[in-house]
Amino acid sequence: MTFNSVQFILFLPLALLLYYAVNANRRWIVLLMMSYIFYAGWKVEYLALIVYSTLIDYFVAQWIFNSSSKAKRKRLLALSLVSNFGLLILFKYFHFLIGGSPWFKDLADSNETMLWLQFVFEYGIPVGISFYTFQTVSYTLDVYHGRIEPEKNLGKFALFVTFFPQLVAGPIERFSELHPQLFNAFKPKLETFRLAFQLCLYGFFLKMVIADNLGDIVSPLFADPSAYNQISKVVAPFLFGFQIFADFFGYTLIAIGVAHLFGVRLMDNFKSPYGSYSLREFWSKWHISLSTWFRDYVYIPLGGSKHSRNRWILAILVTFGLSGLWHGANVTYIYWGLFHGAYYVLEQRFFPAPSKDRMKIFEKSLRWISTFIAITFGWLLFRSNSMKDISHFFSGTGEISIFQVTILPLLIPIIGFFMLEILFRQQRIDQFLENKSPLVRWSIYSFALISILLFSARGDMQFIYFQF
Amino acid sequence: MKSFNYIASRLIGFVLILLIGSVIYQFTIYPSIKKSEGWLQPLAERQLEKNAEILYFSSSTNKAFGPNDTDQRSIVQIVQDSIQHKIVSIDTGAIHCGIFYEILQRIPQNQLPKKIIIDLNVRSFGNNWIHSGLENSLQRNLVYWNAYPGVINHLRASMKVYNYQSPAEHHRAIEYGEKFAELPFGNSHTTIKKWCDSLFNASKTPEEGMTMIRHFGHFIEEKNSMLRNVDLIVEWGKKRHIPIVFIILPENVHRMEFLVGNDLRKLVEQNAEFLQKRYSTKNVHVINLVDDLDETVFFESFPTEHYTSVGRKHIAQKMIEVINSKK
Repeated sequence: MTFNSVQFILFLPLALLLYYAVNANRRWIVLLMMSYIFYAGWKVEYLALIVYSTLIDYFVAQWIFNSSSKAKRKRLLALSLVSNFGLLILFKYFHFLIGGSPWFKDLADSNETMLWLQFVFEYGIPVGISFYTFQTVSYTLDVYHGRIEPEKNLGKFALFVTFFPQLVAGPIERFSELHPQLFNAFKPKLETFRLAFQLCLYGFFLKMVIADNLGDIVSPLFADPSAYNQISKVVAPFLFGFQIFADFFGYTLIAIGVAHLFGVRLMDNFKSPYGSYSLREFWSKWHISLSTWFRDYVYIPLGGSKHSRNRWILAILVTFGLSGLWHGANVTYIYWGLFHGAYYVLEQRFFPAPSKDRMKIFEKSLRWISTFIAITFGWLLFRSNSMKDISHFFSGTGEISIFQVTILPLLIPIIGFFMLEILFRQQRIDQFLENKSPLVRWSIYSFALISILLFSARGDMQFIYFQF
Repeated sequence: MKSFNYIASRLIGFVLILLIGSVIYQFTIYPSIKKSEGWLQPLAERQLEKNAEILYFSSSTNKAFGPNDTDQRSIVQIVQDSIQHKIVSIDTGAIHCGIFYEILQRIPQNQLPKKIIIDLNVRSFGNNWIHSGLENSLQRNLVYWNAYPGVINHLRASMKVYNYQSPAEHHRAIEYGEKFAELPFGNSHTTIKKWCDSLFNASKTPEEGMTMIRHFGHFIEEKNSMLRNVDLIVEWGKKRHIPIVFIILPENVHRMEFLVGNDLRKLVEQNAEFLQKRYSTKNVHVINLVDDLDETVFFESFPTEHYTSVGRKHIAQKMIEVINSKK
């Protein structure tokens, strides 16, 4: 079930009622049960995968912790990595790596079993698999490196893997941050509910009004860019940039808000990323939980910046390339990652951004514009279905325009969204409203709520990051 | 008490905003949304208000295509010109028995017709129709056809509180059907995929034939979901003692035979016979016209049930016969 569904609106109060009704030291059991129900809301059969992943990492981490042999610990770590990434590769990259190749097609045509296997693995990416895989892998790696001790209780470890507010699209939490919070004796206060309300309201506004409406506008263009006129093709990547931001940021705010109701403070995943003056700054503010994961578990182990320049460039490109591949089984995602990597290297090598205080307004403007355009070009690679589609953005022109009279009323919430984001600066809505007068608070509530009532989209848009 | 006041005042504020928003929505945005999203309701209501004795559920089949057609009358107009009874049609592209049933349920008791004639096309029992890209839009359309305030309908549509399946799920269902649904042939055409593959290797221009196979290459079984919709209509008619007539529409079987051989034609005829037999035993009058028309009567080579005036007149004639009969 998605957050913006009736099922979830019924599920959440029920989960809260049960959670608050039981003894504090048994609440985690309720939370675990509700998390499995939440996940089964997509497809019951997907539960098998998350249970498999949980069992593997639970036992492997115990064995690693209890083993004194370095070689054995390494073998166990390899077992965990192969199991987790193997599952990810099978279900997410099967078609990209194997299923789409001519030799496999021939094999599947002549062999019924292979055809079945192909269908099972291309059945659709199990929702959230990239997120919980990365979360469990980080746990095993942290145990291996001695940063944490493994959880002895299988059920408690399972809750760390499945905690439902962040299960399907993050933030990807570290064991040391999330796990202790899940078992705290938590007493909700009125403030808890107010904060959750603010985060969820603004999250729903971002998702249902901004992201979904922008998605309805740009999706047909990305499906067939050759049919659209040039101005539409120039504007679409910018609109998509705001769509994906509102979509993912909206989801994250709801996740953070819902987690608060269970006494858990999830990490911030976004901090006004489009206000960045460099790509380096952008990546410290965009999908923070994923970028720090790649920094800690890929970039630094590859040597980071502590070795030769060439090795640093290689580490950057590999990290960004893998980050691109993490997003999906398509060559366009890899190009998106490599483009970011290459731009990052060039920026750091030739135009490293000084601190903001030392930049004058002209330099700030120039850096902001160039960074924003680079990010937007990246979105063109990211959103396009194929390299051929990307080429259509630069050649030929069709007649259809994305600008139609019907989208005019949408300018009201969209302009409101930009104004609010400028007003909030780098704060979250709850932080911004903390010391504000009731008039300011209720003005913002009214705007968000009425916008949801009046302008929420009715199209086919899902949360974008659920597919990753 | 302080907490209670705190919560109560905020709840009242919240409800007030909802009410204000609802009023603004009802009088500003809803009329245009309802026009674009809820087009089925006015279409059906306008027709139902005519207090017809005979209700004809069709789709784009009913209409004339092409300006050069000698007779531009729709099927229902041709019928109306020949009978005394008043007949109205509800016809718009891609609707099917699932939607017909929803409309039937919404007919006021005092507007019930004396007879209902329904087009069945064999194609609509296949995955390509059941899981068509238009299905979500049709289901969403029904959301706007109820008595809730506009803003509730809007939120229901927005939160997909209707029979919604994501495009990926529809696509998967079609793919599954093509790869694994078995066809009743002893030769290599045991699945749609295998059949298309064999055609791809054998023909220089296989696309049209493959499209035909994808749209007609299904074997209607008891578990078919469209069949359940048809059953509901039959039950609805039985409860109200309203006779139902099914017309199994003509398909371009000659073109099929030319493109992919006799197997597909046989399958289509077999499916039509299955429908005829199944509903005849349920005391429904079924007219099977599946192979009645020649290739020249069809407008498009792409699988449609769009006919020239010759075809429309043929269907109209069969309808006239059944209306004039005592059945």
